[in-house]
Amino acid sequence: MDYERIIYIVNRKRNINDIILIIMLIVLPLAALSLNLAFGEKPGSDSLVVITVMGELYDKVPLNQDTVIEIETELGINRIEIKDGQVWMSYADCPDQLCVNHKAVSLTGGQIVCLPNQVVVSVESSIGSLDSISE
Amino acid sequence: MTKKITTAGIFTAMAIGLAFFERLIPIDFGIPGIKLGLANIVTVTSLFILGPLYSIVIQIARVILSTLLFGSPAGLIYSLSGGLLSVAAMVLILKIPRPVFSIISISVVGAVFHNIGQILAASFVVMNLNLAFYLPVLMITGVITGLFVGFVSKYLVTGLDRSGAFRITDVNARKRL
Repeated sequence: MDYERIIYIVNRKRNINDIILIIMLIVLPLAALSLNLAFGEKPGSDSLVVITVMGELYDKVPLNQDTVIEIETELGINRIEIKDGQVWMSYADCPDQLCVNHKAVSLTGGQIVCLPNQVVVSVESSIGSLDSISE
Repeated sequence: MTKKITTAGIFTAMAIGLAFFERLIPIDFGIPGIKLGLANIVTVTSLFILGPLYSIVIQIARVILSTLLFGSPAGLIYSLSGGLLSVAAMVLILKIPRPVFSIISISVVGAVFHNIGQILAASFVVMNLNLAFYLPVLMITGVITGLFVGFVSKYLVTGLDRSGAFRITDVNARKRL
């Protein structure tokens, strides 16, 4: 076996190591992502819908409890609906209607904001005690 | 010695130039933190041509200077932790006694650890582990940009070595090209 041949084999083996490493680095995050989507952020009993009006906490409602919440302030009227683990803004008298057109939110961290009426609806984890530090 | 220090200075300037060039390319994936990481070409190249110590110093200088020039000083902690973790991971892989992984893997691992370091620092600063949800996405994009940077560095280092301007004296590094 000549020298060139040995170099070739060494190179090929090293390339295989590279390919294995790169595939691992792509597969592992993909697995983490899919696991996260499958189990992690499911709208469960631990998710809360937190409603903030004009910078102040208005209400905290569990996401798995179907309700309709009406908010009336001097800025305007908003109606928030929670159903099937999803929350959306069904009515707002604001001029741009961005919040009404926003699709329903179910995952932790999801937000619907009505800027003209200063209403913020966000889905948060009730067990996330770490969240309170950043607030 | 003098040549090495001069080269380190040129590399730092090149890294800042690349960082500026990268800012001119408007790539927006909608997720913060995704960058091509062109400056990483300099880190990988300096690791092979000048050795670990110089590449760590270049990395620190580059991060501090480009943050002061283009970024906000508040972002320094993210950039610095990402940059240092990245170069540390690359040095560790280079120091594996047998050449198991080539320059491509070194670059990919560097890019991935850059993102891991930034996420760690951000999680630490805002005390919110939810940021870790970003990590898988940033790891995958890190692999892609790391592959690009790795191939560029491979040809750059090989070219510099062949030109005779910078002979790669480290046998360990030479085996990884």
